[in-house]
Amino acid sequence: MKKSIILATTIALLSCSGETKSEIIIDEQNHQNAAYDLSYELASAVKEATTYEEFRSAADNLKAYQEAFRTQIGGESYLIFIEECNTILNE
Amino acid sequence: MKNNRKQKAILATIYTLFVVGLLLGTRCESRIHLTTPEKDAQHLAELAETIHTEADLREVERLAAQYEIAYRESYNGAKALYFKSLYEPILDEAGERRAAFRAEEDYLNAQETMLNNRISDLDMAWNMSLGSEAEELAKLAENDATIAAMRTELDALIAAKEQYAEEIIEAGYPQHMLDKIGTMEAEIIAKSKEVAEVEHKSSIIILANKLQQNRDLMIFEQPVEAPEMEF
Repeated sequence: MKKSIILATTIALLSCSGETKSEIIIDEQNHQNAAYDLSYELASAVKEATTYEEFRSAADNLKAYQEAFRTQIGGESYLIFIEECNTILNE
Repeated sequence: MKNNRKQKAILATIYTLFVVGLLLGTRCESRIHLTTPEKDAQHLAELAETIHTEADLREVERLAAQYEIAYRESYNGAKALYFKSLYEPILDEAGERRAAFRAEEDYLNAQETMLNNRISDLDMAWNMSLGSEAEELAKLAENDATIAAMRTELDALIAAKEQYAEEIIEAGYPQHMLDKIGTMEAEIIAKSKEVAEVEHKSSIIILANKLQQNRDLMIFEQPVEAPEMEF
């Protein structure tokens, strides 16, 4: 009994100490619009950063969304996301 | 003694049967089950519909070749040729589809690389240590002079290559001349890369000044001084 309580507590603690980062979820019903909106918002934040810290945070955020688009949606919307980011960052 | 001989005979028989079985087994495994050329070509067409990668295409091509060999071995060359005439257009179409996929993949890869490079350039620009405006302009001017010198060399290399290409045509394309023009082309590519690298350095300097100091660095051409008139 005592052993099972210890085991259950250990498992619970281990599961709580796992990934705490909030996961990005792309709207699957509206992914193309999301690609346009998010690319504009995220790339503008990278471009308009006024300090290195702001830039780094915005760039990491953009890369996280890029990965989310790649793994969750893919296809044309992923391409739109990247193309739009490139357009904004190279303006 | 007699028992011993009997045992040996049994063992030899078992061993022979085992080897024969093994050979037949491997043969059956690799054997293609033929139906009719039309049905088999249809089967390939259905497989070709699922082609998305280079490996998929190669797999269908390999299977088609196996079918063709099987037709040649089981029937005759004419049947194999007939089967080939049925599946070849299917594979051509699959190849075209694969090429289109590849073009899309290449474009996507290029876009991904462009994004990564741009973010990397911005990172580099944010981390670049800058001097005064005059110092930064001097860096740009130095790079511009380097680029101009490199471009002169590049133009000379291109002109020499074009001249040599004409000589090759006149000489009837001998191998040693083709090798030499290959080397010349490699030199042109290498020089072009060097130019691009210095141009990239300049673009990072401009970007760094813009991001960190909100400076727009511009190099103005120095007006050429008129020669003094002698009276």
